[in-house]
Amino acid sequence: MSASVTITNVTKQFGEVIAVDDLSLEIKDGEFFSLLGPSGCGKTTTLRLIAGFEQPDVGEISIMGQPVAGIPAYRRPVNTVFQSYALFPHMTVAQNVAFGLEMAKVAKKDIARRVDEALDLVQMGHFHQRRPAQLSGGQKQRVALARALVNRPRVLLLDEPLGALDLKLRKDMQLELKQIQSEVGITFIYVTHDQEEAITMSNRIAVMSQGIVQQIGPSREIYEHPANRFVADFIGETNFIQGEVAEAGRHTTLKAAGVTFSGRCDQTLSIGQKATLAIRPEKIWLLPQNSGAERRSDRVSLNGRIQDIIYIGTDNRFQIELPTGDKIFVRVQNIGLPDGQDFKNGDPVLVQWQAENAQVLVD
Amino acid sequence: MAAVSVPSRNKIRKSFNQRVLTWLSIGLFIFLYLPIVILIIYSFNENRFVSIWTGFSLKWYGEVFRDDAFRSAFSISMWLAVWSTVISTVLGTLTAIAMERFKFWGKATYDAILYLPIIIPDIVMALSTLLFFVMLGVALSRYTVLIAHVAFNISFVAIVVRARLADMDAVLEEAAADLGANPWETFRRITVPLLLPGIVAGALLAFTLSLDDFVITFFMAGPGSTTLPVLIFSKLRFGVTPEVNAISTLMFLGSTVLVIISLLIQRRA
Repeated sequence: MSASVTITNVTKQFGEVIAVDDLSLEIKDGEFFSLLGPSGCGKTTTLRLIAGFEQPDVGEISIMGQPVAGIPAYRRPVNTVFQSYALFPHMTVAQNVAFGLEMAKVAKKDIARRVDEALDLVQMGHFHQRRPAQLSGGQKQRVALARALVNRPRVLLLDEPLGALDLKLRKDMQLELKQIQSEVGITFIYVTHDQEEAITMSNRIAVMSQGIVQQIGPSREIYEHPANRFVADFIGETNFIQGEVAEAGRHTTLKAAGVTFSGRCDQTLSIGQKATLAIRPEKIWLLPQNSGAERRSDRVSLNGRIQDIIYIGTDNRFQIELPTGDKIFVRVQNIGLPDGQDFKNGDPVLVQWQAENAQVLVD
Repeated sequence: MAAVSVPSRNKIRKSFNQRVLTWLSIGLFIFLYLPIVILIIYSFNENRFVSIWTGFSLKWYGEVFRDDAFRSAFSISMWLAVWSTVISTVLGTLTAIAMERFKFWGKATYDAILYLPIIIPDIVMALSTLLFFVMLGVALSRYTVLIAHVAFNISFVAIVVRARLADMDAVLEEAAADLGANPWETFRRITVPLLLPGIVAGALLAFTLSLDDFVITFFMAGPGSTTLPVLIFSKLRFGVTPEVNAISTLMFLGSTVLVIISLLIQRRA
């Protein structure tokens, strides 16, 4: 696969603030690529640099192999779906969608046909003559998408396009966007602060913080094997247990308060070094102590005590205190255990996980 | 019982305050508008002395339209109003866009200076502009009046257009560029249509101000540039006749209509 957008050592500063710091990215042709991070992490600035609304202070950006330095936004082969939709209020839906084609001097009869196709693609075929003010948020969203896609850009930039929609509509639109992307087959660069959204939709994700890419990889890799504490914390829910390295290797063992626990480690650590083990709440088994359950060699096993049980419908969330003093959360799916096997506050329990499912990180 | 009497006393005081405010407002409106109402009523007076009402008549309006001085002043006033509106609307709109959308050296200073014509007294504007023309050795004519009108109208147009521009999301212009519109197309297809209510309102305001201006016009007026307000002033030297009332009434009507249209356009947008 060839590269669709290449960003090489790009830095962008606004006054004293470094929005994007020596950023390098390669986005492949036809990929659904997400820039994910908290607000102010530089993801929107990155998108605006690609679109041409901002110019990099340092570094180079190429679109389809062509360096775009000095090329104004209106000559770049990209289109943007804006967070606020940015539909032209004085034009109808059809006029909005036709705008880009008119600018490109497409023949009149082709414009009409392509506007129809684009509006059909986003299921807005019956709304040609409406004004943006007469549309709901979700409908505006669809028109904004059609207005961008109708130009058949090489790359579509999406700036938190679902940010203003309610949860249910968001979920529907996520699937639909993904479907449209595979239908039209163009590169989508998607900016979001919603980790679930990024994981659901993307082929690859770049997690950003303070203008720096913290990790790039497929959704699964980002979730299962976070590269550092920021990523582990930002993506999903994670328990952190601190300790010192007792045994280094592919599975590294940490020691704290007289107990040992291990997890997968992608770096080489030295004995005695401080490190943190990250483990997801759903990757932990919770077993009653003294009830025939035993320590198994293929699992890490720690003693714990239930401090709190929170019922959240699909799951029960247990807060467990470990001998290290750390408090961790454990999610147990609510499969409807018969009465009597439920845990109670204060119960001693056995906390177990597979070393491969935990990640040892250095701060 | 004390607890009950406190709110009721408050209630009395509140309604007392309301009554005072109401009467003050009514008094103020009478003070402001009664003279105008009287002026209008006496323009229909049949008697040639303004202060003695003898009967209803439209004859003074007939006098006005037969008066060559009035017709000449009217055409000069319209010429000034139209041209100063056209020029100041274009320049004022461009100024507003520059101030709202661009960064340039000395912007803050320019921003402050731009609004000076609105703040400083007309007489100071008039005197300084007059001295400026004298210094340059320019003979006073209707063109010097026009330049002076444009000078103060730009500020008013710029303020009205800029308010509209501040409400308009700059992302719309980015969206147009994103869709391949060059800066000129963006200006023509997006910025101007969205600013149009502000531009029209600013133009109407400029037209009204030009039509009504006396002080600056009086100082700047060369031969053959007598406008309606200057004509009224010169007629007063021969005593107030109902003809002056009739001219004033016509001007009042014209200005009021323009201001109302301007406000309606701004509100609807």
